[in-house]
Amino acid sequence: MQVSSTDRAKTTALVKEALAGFTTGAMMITPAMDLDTEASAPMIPIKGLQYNTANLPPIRSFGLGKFENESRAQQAPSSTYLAAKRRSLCRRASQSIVSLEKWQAEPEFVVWTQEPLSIIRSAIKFLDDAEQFSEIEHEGNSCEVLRQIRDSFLNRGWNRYRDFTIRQAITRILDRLASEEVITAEFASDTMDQLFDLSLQPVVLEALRDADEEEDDC
Amino acid sequence: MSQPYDQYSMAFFAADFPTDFGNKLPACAAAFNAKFKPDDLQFRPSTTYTFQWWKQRKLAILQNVPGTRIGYQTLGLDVWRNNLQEFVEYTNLVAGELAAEECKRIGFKTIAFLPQTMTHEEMSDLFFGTFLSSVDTWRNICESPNDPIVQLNGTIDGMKLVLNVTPSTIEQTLTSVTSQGNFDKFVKSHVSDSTAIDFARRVTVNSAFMVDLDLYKDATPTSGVAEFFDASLNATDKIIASCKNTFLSKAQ
Repeated sequence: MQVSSTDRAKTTALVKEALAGFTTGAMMITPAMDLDTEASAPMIPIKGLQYNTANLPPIRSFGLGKFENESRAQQAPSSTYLAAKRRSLCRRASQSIVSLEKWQAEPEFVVWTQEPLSIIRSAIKFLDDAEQFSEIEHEGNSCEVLRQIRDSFLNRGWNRYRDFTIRQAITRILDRLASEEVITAEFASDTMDQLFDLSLQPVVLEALRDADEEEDDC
Repeated sequence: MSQPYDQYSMAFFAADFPTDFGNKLPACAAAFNAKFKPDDLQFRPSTTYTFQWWKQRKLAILQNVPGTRIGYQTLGLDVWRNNLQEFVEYTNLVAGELAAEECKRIGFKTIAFLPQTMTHEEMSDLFFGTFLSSVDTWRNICESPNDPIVQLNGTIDGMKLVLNVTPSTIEQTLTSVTSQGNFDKFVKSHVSDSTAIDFARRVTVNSAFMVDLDLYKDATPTSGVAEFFDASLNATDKIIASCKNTFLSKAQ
């Protein structure tokens, strides 16, 4: 924020007034010690050159003092961490969907779809929880895409995953999530269109037919 | 080709000769000093000679440990990359003076501190599921595993390798850097020359993903040192890139 010279003069005057009682020589505010530190910072002559100390970086202590960056532990997770975690989980989900091929003709195929579904759910939960206290939603679009894929399994949507073309399309989407640094809103929107084109249900609008699915919906 | 981690790395090279050339060492050191004109030379007669170039972030060390060894140490992989030919010349001169035809072992070691914007806790978590199996598989050994370190021994491009990767806090990085042997010898005085301190400051701005890589070969002819320099530098770049991609779950 820029401080105007009038404001600075007013502040200086107020400080001077407040310190009026303390008139020991060392504490007095002189024009050279005005609040405009940049102009009044002492010059240090080094081998004939003049360095303005206001432009030098603060000296860091290498003792066992506290390091400022470590205090970030209590804050929201970093976007780099969340992106890496999303890539890792989505790669696992993608591999799990590829492996469904072995069971595509099995009558109890639904059982095998639980693994990718569970990975997708845990990815949504992790990203959602992690950003609960964050001011910015770094992974909001990723969550949106993952929710679309999760919903495509619900209401007997899992049956469509017997089809190789469906698995291939979903794997391609998950591979994007497993490789990109940032997931855009456009990508989330395109995914929705793509899932509708495949006659999948990216948004569950009706009541879930399967009681178990209702429980797990996060 | 320069890499973003060049300024965040320390590099070491050592060639160990099979025999002790003890009595030839002073003459070899004198020849080295005369030809390459370092800014300063510290020595313990007949055991260790340390050649120093102020502000150039490099050292050459000739010593009997026992067995004779020539070693180089740089603050920054860029120093190594930009002066590769010089280091070849140093080695050739020493091998020539000592009339050594074979090295018992040659090794190139890099310690890179790749700065991260993550906390140490987050970095530790990423190790599980990438370098290590999922955190749940370790819970029967330890309730809440943290601060992992992974060591891998193997081979690459005809060289043996010892690789260590670990997340490093600012304090751990600082300890690693300042506890390296000869760290104080890169400058004449820390008061008048901030070269070493600047390096320590640079690598301790953030927590880091630390890659400690040792590439080495046994029984190598001294004429093969230049080739080893190239091969080890290429392998170092390849391994650091792969480690970083694995750590961040990026496609290889």
